[in-house]
Amino acid sequence: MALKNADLIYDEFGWDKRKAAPGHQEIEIGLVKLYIVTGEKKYLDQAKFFLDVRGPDGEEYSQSHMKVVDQREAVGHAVRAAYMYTGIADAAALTNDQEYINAINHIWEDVVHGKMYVTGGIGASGGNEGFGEPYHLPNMSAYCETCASIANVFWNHRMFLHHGESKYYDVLERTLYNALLSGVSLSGDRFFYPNVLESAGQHQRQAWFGCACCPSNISRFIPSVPGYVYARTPDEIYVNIYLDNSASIEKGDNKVELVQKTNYPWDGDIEITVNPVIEERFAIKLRIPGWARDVAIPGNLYSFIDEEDEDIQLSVNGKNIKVSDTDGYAAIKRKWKKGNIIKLVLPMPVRKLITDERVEADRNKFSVKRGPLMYCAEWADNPGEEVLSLVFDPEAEMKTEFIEDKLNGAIVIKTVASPAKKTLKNEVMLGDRQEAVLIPYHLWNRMLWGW
Amino acid sequence: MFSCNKQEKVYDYDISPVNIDKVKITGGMWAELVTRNREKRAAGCGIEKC
Repeated sequence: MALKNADLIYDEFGWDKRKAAPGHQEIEIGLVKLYIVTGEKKYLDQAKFFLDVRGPDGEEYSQSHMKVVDQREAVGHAVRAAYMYTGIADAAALTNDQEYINAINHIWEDVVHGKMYVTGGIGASGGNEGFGEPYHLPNMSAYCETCASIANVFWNHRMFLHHGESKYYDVLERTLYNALLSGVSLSGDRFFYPNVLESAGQHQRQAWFGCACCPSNISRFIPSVPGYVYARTPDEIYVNIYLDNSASIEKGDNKVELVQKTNYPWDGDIEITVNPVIEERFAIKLRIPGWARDVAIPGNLYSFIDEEDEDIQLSVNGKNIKVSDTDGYAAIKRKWKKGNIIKLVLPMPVRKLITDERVEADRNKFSVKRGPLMYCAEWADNPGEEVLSLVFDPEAEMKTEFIEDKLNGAIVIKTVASPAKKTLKNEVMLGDRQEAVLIPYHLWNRMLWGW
Repeated sequence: MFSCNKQEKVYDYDISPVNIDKVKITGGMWAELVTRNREKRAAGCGIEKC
């Protein structure tokens, strides 16, 4: 069926046929995959045609306002954009076209320096379901479409495969655990289309939508998570995502089993047992997340306002190793034998972040994170006061507590906050401090529709 | 016939992702999320109105 449809498109569209680009990019990714699977170069050519035919006389909304190789800023519909950047990366990998790579390098910088939420969400505006001007990142009207988060993961995955730098996985992980995972309820059958960062109660996950891309997209995406955990070159294995798993990785004539034990993202203790079939010298590159290296998130939009004083710990077979990272990875190169054990400890204190002051919606505010997870306050855990009226003190102690019987088991943060009220003279008065609870952002909005 | 999940090479970058069928999630929050979504998909997704 895939071949039949692809062949029809090939017969209809081309430089000497109908010179038109798809209005909603995504087919480019599929055509590249079809080329790799079948070896039929016409599918790669078709993907390139759909990229190269865009611009310069189209519109920003669908990224056809200029040739793709000339684009330097993220504009227009965010899902279409990020799918297109993914397709450009795939085509560049096969054609070694440096102009393609230059374009998506510039666009990535544009996003992380001015157009990305602290949750990793992209696409601030509901009107065009897309990117706004730099630093236009409203919270209550944030769009952050679930599909855009999925597309952002696709794109950053490809950027890593091109460049081998962990900063792309830092964006991927922030998006995955926050803006993306917020898109589905714990029960797995309620969905957000936009993923706002602030609500007065008007936002609820829904069972379905008239335009129902997000439910099926996230249901498709989540089972694909195992495919993002590891990567390899002939003499390196990358460990990019920490989660409990066992993997069998083929390396030439050798096969390496990795068994990862961890409770991540609830804590940062990771144990990896390495079992190569044949003893062999190669490098295992452990991603040291930016948040553990004092980088709030790639780009200069967000920065920490507190200090991290715990060190990352790394050992092999009980022998400590100095952690020095290159491109965000701690590389351990040695002759690996069956039963070798790597232990990595990523300290996970509660950290506070502020946003570049050019983001008007975030002025005089701070956000709270722990490990890869952003946290939020919700009425269900903070009864008695309007959550939006609570004033938090960045100097107040923030304690963590594992709640086993709620949220499917999660770490919550307990601190204090003061309810603010306005007097008749329009003065703001702070009430007595009270306990306040913060929960992982992706778990918010669970009460009305259940778990 | 081919199966994308069994295809060793899905992309063509200098760095290759380790394919989804080579990694088995064994516990933690993702185990439940992945299992639940797979079950829903196997059962015709299970989402209302789908």
